[in-house]
Amino acid sequence: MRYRFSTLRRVLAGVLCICSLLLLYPAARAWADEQGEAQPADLSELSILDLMNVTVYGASKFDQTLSEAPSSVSIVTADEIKKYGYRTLADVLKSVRSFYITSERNYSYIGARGFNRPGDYNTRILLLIDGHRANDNIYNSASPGTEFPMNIDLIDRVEVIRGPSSSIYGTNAFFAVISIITKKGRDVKGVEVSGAAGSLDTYTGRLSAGGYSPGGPEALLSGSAMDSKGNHRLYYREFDPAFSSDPHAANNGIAENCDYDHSYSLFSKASWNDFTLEGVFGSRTKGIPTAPYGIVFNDTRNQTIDERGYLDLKYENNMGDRSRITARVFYDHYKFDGTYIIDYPPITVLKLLDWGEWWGGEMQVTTTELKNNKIVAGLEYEDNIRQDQYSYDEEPLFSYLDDKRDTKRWAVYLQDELLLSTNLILNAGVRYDHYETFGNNANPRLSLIYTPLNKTTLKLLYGTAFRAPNVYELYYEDSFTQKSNPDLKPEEITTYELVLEQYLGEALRISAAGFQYRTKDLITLETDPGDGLMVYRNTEKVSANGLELELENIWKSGMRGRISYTVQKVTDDATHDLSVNSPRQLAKINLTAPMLNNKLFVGIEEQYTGRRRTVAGKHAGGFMITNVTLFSRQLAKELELSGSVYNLFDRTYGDPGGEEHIQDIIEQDGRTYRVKLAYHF
Amino acid sequence: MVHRFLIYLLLPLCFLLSPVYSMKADEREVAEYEVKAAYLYNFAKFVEWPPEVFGGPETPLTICILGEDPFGAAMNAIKRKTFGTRKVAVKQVHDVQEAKGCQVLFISASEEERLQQTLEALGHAGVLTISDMRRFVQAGGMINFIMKDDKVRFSINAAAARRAGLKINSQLLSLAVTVME
Repeated sequence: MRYRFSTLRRVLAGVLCICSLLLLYPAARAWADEQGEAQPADLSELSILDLMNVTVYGASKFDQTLSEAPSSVSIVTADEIKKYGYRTLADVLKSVRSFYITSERNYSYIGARGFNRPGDYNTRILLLIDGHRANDNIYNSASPGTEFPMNIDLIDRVEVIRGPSSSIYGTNAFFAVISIITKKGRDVKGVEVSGAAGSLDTYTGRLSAGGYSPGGPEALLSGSAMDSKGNHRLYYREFDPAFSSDPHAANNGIAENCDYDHSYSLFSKASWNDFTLEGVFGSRTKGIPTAPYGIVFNDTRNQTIDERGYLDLKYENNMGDRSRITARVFYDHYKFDGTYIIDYPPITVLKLLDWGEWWGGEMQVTTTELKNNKIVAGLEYEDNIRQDQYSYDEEPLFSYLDDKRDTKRWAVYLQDELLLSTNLILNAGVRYDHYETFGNNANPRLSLIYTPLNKTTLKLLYGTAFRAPNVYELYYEDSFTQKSNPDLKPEEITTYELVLEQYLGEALRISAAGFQYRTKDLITLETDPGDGLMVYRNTEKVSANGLELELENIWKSGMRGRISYTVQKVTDDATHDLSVNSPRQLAKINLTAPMLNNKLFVGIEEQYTGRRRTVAGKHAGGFMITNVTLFSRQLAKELELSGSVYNLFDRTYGDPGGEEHIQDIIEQDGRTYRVKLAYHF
Repeated sequence: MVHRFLIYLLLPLCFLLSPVYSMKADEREVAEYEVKAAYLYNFAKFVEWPPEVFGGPETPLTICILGEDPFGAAMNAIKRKTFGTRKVAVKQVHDVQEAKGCQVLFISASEEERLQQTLEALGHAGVLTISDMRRFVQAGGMINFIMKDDKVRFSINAAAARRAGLKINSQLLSLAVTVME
């Protein structure tokens, strides 16, 4: 009874706020009209370059390039990132059809196609930044939370390419490829400063400078920092001495000041003629409030530091009218520094350090010399000059692991897009990978894109993908909890997909996609009954099928809406049980609308995640999250201001923990706020 | 459970009732077509026509619209402009034969059904064809407007332009979202 009333009260409060906004509208509109138009009077005086940067409000057309892609693609633009108040790449992915994020207050894990096994490290999604592989060379992981080494304001667009893409990209392109395109100097032009303050004592700041001269060099430079105290009092019943007999239960189950999160990042991109040099560096420090792996509870010294950086030089040139060559050479760096307080006894500081350095080169040629064919051929080489893993007690110094590796890999791939007729395209590709660690792997992909009517597209897809075992799975051993397995083989997946896209008029898009996949040799952590040590083995087999539906519309007023629904079933082949941390259903609504003469935008998100099985065999309940953002541009000249409320209705919900957690379900944040402003000089 | 879901669903729908969206739709479309009109004029700077298309140095640059006119007053600024030594003329045409006398032809979305016949009839007449209908360049049109992040961009079918005897400057090709060869 009481609970119902408080929900009703919250809803009424929300409706009241919105109604008062609407009542203020006519007055605000009159004022906004007085401020005048932001557009120049005579557009015909502008050059093509300037015309390309004129924002047109309420345009009624969709991005038309999506239909030609040989898979199901979702795009999130920088504009949407502002209007929905996304703080990290994880926030972006939460809004994408059929994706979900699981967090354990240290890292964020991406769930795609219903697969997100606790304990796995985002290895089955390939993350690219401007075509550069972001997954590191120790865990092959690419995390989208605050550990991502780039400020979200630098992202021009995020392309989520579903399905197996190993036929072009190789390992990790198992369930999806997330391709991030960053902004250019011309997108910033001048100096921009941005700051945000939010709940849980969270502060972020950014300073960016960009320049562009047509025909000449273009550069963008940016530095950012973030500091958050996090939830400074987190209660865990599993560590409350009143309810739990766990030896680490203490402080009434409250982890104090352990959820801290701070980071800094640097970004630079310079291009001249056909060359582009990009440098990225980011470091994030996070406290661990959940005390996994039996570490001491409520100790602020428990923390992880992730450092990632790279330098990438790209060359692109059109060779004549019909061909294009892209060549790239890069150098990457990754460091992980984990501090874990263990009570053996006595209380000891355990360090886990990983250090990776690698370099490589790639070359790709695209040609349409052969009539009706678009051929893409490429080759890649990567030399991991350093793949070090260390584990030791600090005092007294005792080393458990001191493993150094130096592995190489190379690959060749070929893809042909064949125009069978004006409305039928066949896309066929294959890639051959050679690894020093396990040998060879070949992956084909075939897709048929049929456009029977101008507004209808049908895609039929078949593809395989693989995930190579990483050096952590192959070689980590510490002689008392875990041993290595250098004989690990890659995981494999076979996927079939049928996609239908239909446009009604120019502004309504409907898409329906059905998928089925079978994975085998999934690398799983098991306990060897012989010696009681944990070891990674190629054991699990998982199958799944699902259906995704999406509706998108753009109204004449400039309002845009999108609603998606996914239903899926992911089961373990051996037990026929539903997989852990796999929601049967996902539903999302995104709505953005312009107000006040296009100077103010409201963005609303609703995300429903269905029930998920936990490691203990229980269930994390289904939940619905509502986020609202008010974003304004040009209210004052060159100023962007936004206010966001996340989890508006303060819903209590949790994500399934991993085997390493005592907690079966890890509770997530309640309602939080953020105010952000950006000023352009 | 169900009633809560309904409340969440109803909340954003409240916006549909609000007077916010009775904004003049025309206001918006003029802005989009003002940009497109400016583009039509600017594209001409990056195109080389075969010499016989322009009768002489006095011949104006003729920009034509085939089908329903979405530009309206947006074209006024363009009519006043000059193209080198030439004037700029803006005409509304009603059939393909008339269109052959234009250097730049915008084919309105109203002509979508007849697109194949229209393009075939234009043949190699040296007319730069532009539109904003879906799959225009795939069907053989030369330049198509596409929206990207609320900005007007364009795709080019360079092969179609070549076939008509037109040469498109590589600078324009490098600014296009996609180029079909």
